[in-house]
Amino acid sequence: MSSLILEAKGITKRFGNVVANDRVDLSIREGEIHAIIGENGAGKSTLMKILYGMIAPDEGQLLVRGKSVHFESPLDALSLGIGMVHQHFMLVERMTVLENFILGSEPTINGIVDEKSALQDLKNLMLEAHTELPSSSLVKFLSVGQQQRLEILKLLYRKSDILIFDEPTGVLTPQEVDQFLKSLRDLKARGKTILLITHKLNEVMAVADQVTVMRAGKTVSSLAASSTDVKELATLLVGREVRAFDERKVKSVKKLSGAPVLKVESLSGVKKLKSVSFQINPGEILGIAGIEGNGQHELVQMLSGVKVHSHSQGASIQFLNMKIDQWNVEKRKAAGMACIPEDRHHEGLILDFNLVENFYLGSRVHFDIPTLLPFKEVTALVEKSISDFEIKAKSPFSKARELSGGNQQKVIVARELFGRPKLLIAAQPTRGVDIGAIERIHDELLKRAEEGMAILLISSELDEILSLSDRVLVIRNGEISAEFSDVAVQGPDLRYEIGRAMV
Amino acid sequence: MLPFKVQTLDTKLVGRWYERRSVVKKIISLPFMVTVLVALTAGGIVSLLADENPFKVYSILFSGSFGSIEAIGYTLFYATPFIFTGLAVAIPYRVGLFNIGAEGQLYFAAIALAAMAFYFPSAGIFSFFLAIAAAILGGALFAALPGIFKAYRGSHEVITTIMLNFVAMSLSNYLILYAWKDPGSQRPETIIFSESTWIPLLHLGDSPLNYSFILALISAVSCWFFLEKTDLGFQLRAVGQNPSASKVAGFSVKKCIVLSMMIGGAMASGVAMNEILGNAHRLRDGFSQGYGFIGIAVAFLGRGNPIGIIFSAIFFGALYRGAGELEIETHRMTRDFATVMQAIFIAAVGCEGLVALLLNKLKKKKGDPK
Repeated sequence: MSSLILEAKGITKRFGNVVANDRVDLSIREGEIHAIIGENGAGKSTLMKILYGMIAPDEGQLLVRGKSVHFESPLDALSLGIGMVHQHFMLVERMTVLENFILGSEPTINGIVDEKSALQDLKNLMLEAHTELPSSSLVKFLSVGQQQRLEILKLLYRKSDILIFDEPTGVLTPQEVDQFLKSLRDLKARGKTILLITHKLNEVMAVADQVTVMRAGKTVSSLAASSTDVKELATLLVGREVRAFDERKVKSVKKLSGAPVLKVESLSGVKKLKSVSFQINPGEILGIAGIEGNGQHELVQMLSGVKVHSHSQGASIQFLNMKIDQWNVEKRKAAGMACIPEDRHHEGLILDFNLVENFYLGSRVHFDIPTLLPFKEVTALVEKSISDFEIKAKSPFSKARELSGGNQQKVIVARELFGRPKLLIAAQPTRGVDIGAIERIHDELLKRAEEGMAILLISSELDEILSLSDRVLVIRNGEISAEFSDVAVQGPDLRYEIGRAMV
Repeated sequence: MLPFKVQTLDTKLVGRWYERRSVVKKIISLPFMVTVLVALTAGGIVSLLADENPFKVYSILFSGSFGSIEAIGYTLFYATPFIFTGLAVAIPYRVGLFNIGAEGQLYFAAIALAAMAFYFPSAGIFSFFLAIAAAILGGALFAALPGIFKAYRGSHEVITTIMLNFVAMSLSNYLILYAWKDPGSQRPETIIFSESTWIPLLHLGDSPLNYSFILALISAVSCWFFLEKTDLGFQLRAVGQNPSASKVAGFSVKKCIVLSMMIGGAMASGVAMNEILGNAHRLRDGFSQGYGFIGIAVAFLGRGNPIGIIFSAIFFGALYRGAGELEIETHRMTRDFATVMQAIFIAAVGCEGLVALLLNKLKKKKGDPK
């Protein structure tokens, strides 16, 4: 049972002057769930690409079932039973489940695709894997979780027995995560070996047998999951002691004074949002918990001014006692609103613009004469942000694309906080971001709240909501389904109650 | 107002330098050079097929286009409309729009210009400015139409601009053949317009090169400045790169779409000035030899960068001028060789990504990881 199925010895990979993998060793036993954790830029992805045959190492050796191998392409890896589920799925959205299932290894009779046997294979595999997908529906109509299950089925169909998962739970809802972790255990029970690359230490603790920690291109340590805990892993990960994610930082209840910063009354949207009312006081962090897709996005759009139409009578948005329903984004920003949008690639940044341009993109209203671009000032501001927030970037003129996710997010946070807003709408502020950056961003939010900034924190990470918020609202089907005050006092018991209100 | 004092750091200079260098590098990159080489080789093969020595062909092309003051004058004269239409394509392209309608826009600008010159010929210097203003406005408004359709109705700009090309060209034909036809001429053209509307020549030999070329250069530099240095230009670029992030930042995507099309149309109107006020002094049937469409190639060869467009337009101009010489100096080649070379270059530039990919593979084989 415990023979080594996959080994990497002294793998080194350089990109120019950067050493992405520095003499990395890895041993995977057959039939185990092996988690590889590391911050962004620690070299996990490079290692995985090497294991999967996408890039070749400069030095070192790969052994599969004890035999030294050399991969020319992922096809070689696939033929040895190594399959990968990428972070961004490799599915053709406009093709059906069945077509995607067989794509690239179609069963044929005389050169014609044998759909019958393909369908039978798919059905058999679905039965084995205790999952059900509509075989004739287009992939674009599947949920993210379903798409992921299809990716797994594809690998099983190709007879892979070493399955590599790259950040598999980043896009899933809490229920889907549970289901996914369960399916991992299923796969393990069927004798498959699983490599799990992730940030999420709780998930590692939940399913993994063995954990390998990478830092700065090296394997720092490899330990049995049963002999460690989240705190130790976090310390190994960052290289210094960090607070565990769900440790509450602010124990006291803040004294909230003054008129509410934001007052929302029976706000309804076109898609999901139904008659939502709440208010936020100065210095308060109001958490909005809920499974993604329950109206959060529309709420953010309507509050930030991207969408201005309200479709219910008596609806109003009051910001600092001003009725701002019909104000556009710029006017709201100028008045003291700021927004960290949930999807930094699509809404927060322009990836091919440099950091100066990206900073200006969101802070434009705070400059006096926007006829000519004030890039001298902005450059200085970006330099200040780079040092204040410890953003890892070559220069202010680096393209946003060249930064890691955590550093990109820090650029957005620095930019949105620059104008000293009275209200910050923070949607998924730490999604897909490494622990170091999460800590930095959380600290900054707490500090600004102490100084009186109101924060509307929208997150699908319950841990994040609980560790930051003073008060929590739960959104379900576009409605506020529950409210919890004094979060700091009630503490962890609240988790289950909030979870119940979410579904 | 900035909440704290802005400090200047040394790294800024380094960063600026790096940024500039990267722009130059982008234009004169290795894949680009290889692409040009491949295209020239392909052109050489074509001339071999026509039984002509490729080196002789290229030397005639070169001396024909740059060999004398007059040749240069002609080259730049041909380059002028290409600069204008290159910009007409490039500016909307930076906002993510594919303007196939530069041809129609320049025709409509010509109609507006001719109308002013036709009906208000004797207002002295005012006739001149009236004609110019009418051309710019005509081009801009005619281009605004597909912009508005796109922004507010979602109609695809490729379809609408192509259709509007026919509208403008047919209207111009009608006016030239009926309403404004010169009764004393056998050809489909209007009367010669008042001399007060003429754009003066630059007197490079006997070439028809006129001040429109200077206007074209100024336009290109202004477009560059507008896109790179002004807030509004920044908005256009942002919308082109990422419309949803631009919306979140508070930019109006609709406004940027319409505006970019209007700038494009205004640029296209420069062709009408060059051909009508600068050269023929009358509106002629077929005064544009597909300049609007060649502008697409010019814009792509110039990487959508206004400064790059100046160079790619001059290159195209040289090709047109040089190919004319080719017809005279060789037995078997005609000016159509310009069209052939143009096609080869468009195809080659289209393949540039492929060239870059192949070069990368070659490098990888040599063992260099990046």
